[in-house]
Amino acid sequence: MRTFDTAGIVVPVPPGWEARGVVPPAPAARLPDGSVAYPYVHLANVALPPGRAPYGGGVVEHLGPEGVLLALLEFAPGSARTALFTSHDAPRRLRPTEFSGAQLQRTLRGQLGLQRFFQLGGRALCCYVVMGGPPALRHALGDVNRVLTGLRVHEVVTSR
Amino acid sequence: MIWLVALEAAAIGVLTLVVVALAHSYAGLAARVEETASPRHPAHVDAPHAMIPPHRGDEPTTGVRDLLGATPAGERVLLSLAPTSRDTLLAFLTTSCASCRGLWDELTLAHPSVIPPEVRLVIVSKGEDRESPSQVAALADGIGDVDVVMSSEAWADFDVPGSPYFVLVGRERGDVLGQGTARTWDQVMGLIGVAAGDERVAARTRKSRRDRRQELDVDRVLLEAGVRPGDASLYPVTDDGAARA
Amino acid sequence: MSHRRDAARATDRWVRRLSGALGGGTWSRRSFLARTSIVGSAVAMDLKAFALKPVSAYDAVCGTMSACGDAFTAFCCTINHGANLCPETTYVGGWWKADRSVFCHGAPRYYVDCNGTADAHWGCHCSESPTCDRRKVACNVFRYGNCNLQIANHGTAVVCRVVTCTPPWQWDPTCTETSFSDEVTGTQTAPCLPPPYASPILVKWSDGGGAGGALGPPRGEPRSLTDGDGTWARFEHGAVYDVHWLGVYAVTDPIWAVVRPRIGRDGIGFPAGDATRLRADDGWSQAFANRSSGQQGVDAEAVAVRPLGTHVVTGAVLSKWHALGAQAGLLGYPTSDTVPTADGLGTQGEFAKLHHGAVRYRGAIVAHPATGAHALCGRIYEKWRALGGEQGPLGLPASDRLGLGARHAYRNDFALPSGARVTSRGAIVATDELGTWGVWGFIHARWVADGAQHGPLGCPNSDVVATPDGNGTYATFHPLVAATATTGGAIVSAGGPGTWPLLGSLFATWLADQHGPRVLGMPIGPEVDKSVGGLALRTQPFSSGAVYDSPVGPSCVLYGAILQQYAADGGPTGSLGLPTSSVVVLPSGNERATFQFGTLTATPGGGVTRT
Repeated sequence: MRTFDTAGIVVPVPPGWEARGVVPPAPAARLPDGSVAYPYVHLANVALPPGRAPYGGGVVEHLGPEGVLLALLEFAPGSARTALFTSHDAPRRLRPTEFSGAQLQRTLRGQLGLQRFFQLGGRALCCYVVMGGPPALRHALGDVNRVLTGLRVHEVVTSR
Repeated sequence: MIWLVALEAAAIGVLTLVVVALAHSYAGLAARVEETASPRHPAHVDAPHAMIPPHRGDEPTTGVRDLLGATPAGERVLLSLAPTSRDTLLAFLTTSCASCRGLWDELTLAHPSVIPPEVRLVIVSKGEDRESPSQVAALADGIGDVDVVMSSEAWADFDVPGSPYFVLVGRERGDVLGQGTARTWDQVMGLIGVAAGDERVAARTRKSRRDRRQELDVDRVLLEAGVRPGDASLYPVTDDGAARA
Repeated sequence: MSHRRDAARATDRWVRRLSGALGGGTWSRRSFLARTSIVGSAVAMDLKAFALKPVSAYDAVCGTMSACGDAFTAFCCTINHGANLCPETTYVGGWWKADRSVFCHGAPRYYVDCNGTADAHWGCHCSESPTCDRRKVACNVFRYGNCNLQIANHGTAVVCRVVTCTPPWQWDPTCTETSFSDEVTGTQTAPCLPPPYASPILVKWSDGGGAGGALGPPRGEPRSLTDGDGTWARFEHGAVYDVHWLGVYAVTDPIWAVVRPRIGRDGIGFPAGDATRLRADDGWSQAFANRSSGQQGVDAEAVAVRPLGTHVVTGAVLSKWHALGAQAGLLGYPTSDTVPTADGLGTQGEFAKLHHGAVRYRGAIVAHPATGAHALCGRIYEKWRALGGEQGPLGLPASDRLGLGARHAYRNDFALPSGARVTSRGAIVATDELGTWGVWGFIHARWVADGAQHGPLGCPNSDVVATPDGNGTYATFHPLVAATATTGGAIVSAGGPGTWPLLGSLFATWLADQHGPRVLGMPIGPEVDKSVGGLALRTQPFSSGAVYDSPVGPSCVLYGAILQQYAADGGPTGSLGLPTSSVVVLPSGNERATFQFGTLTATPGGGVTRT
């Protein structure tokens, strides 16, 4: 599998999957409104169009029952010291029972989702997975777990 | 009477041929002038004004299953070419090639109807070492959700001789189903149709483009008549004056 | 349920009325479309698509994807009695934004998720609003993860969404600046939210919660400010000002209740920012600026603190207060408005430092052209007040609090102005050992000339008081460290040049005389120290006598005929040598004093004999 590196978030990409990583122009650069964007990476077994939202808007609507989207999003470094990101256990092996139709940013009919906040390498991260339907859960969960098992995060490269 | 009609028809046919030939010649001359007038990249391999057919009969090239690069906005991308659900048309365009300009502009005007839904279009410019992301972004702006990827690696992977150049990649194994150069998207559609062996694709595309042109005409006429979006006349109105979908 | 629906409808009406009024036009179905529907955003974002996809006005008001099956969550104002705020039993779970929003005049529009608390039971359902916002309620178990990070992920659902044009990290301090954009939601809205291109005042009102927020429901129509400064609109609990040279800011109770009549060019100006929560979270502070003052920056600040009320600090007092750290600094919160000094030339304001809600100490800032702007606080402030404040002998503070190099030892200087000139100066010194005392006039001048707290007198341990004989004034002093028989004492003044220090035992001798026979009078010169025959002699002249202090005769008081004879004999260097006793009155009525080498006896009405 080819590996894909987005600002030190390194994942293997299964055959037939796509990956797109958004890296702010400069690490922790302030946007015109004063907010700060951090890197995120999308992997999917469907085509990833441009203009996607960080939690998969623009993709999840077109997943199909066998489609999978996996998003890994980074947060401000200080977030790693908070209760929300307290877990040092990156999700590596997800079980079908962990998914539900409610754990979704957009509760689209038939889709199943999962969201985990954690920290790795001192970086605050969120893993968000959307399965297009039960077929995806049956056939693509192995690929999802291969990506997560191979996930490596370099030490903090963004700082504030 | 019959012979007069036949003579008239023959004359019209000859005149038509003359007009077509003149137009063809003029187009060629115009293209040459345009290329000569392009001062920035005199060395690049520009497209001839006629389309080169795909490599019919050759063994398909295999092995390139993904495309690694970056978008003009800085997003890193690893696009899958195979296995996927659709064939991928890689359009190798640059910012400096004069013949590419019309292709960029036509995409801005009429996308997504220029490419049939069965084919995924990916525009590939050279990487940041050879192209300015801001210039690529300026051309890509307004063409909607078409992928524009900057990747010198892809140019090397597909042995692209110059721009514009098109490669149709098969969805199952990443085979090169056809490749060649073209000046217009109509020509590209022909390339796709022939390469895919599916004339229906080309026919559907032509139909789709006709519809699109008609829609744009309607838009233009409405606007010229002062009917703007939101105008009450666009909506059915009930007795109580409320609009209804 | 009926009540809820009524509330939602009322909010919708207000939004529409206010947006119409602010737009300044008449109310028609077409203008309704243009102002309160998504038409504006559709025109701006996808003109062609909108032109060819007719929608009804009613559906257009809620924008795209407003049905329950459209996977998005309802807006809070739809389900929260019109309040564009997180309902009870929810918390701010995160935010995202849609850039270049027509709802925020081209700036980002922010969406804030309100997640249910862990113990709340919302239950997934469709919005039951009578409006077109039929989106889901509490169905999406999801967190954006950029607000309230101290709350672990309980897996609770997003109950509803608040929208603002104010950045969330300013709207709610629990939110971080970690940014996510999702342009798909940019065309979603609800009737209870401002329409595209709404008046900035309406947007401001909505950002603050709308009818359910701090401003409350609108009251009256928006009006123009005089002098063309902008517009303003009145609400039940405050107002929003759109001043073109400042921006759009709201003033709400409790500040509004106090500053309302003073807002404007003739008063404290216009709000130059929104009210900010005080650091100790016990009140609010808001800045005001007035262009007519000809100055840049803030001209006034209103501070509302629960135990102290709301007060307005202005001008030089405000500048000084900020220079001292404002509410977090030495003086704490204002307890009075800034008011003119008695002569009308300066300004002053009072302050209090709080500790756990109770006043720990008080203070003041006084600004005057003759003295500048200075602060005093605690014991020194209380002393100043006790001595009459600006009307007392000290006048106005002429320095900030100065440390004296010892623990809890401070000093403030004062000056008594006459117009823009200073006619007299003074000081208050506060120490743990000696207490807090004020000195002024000639006594203060002498103390300063003699080195103030660094000199032999040390620090005052009395105010300036009248001498027991009523012929002058004096103040006592004591060194902070290493007191000896020649340090501390008093400064005694008969006015003007007749002001002299009496050090150590000499002061004790004078004071005892003041409470006794009163033969010395007032000092008329400084202490003179010399060595006579190898003996150290301290001597000081007084109007009616003199004191001689030596190892052979401590604190000897001479006066009258005996002193004259002693002086005629050459004094300490004469044949009599040093005094060994004070003048004493014998039972016979004669007076006698002894010396190293003789005795002088004075007979009433007669001469002085030496034996």
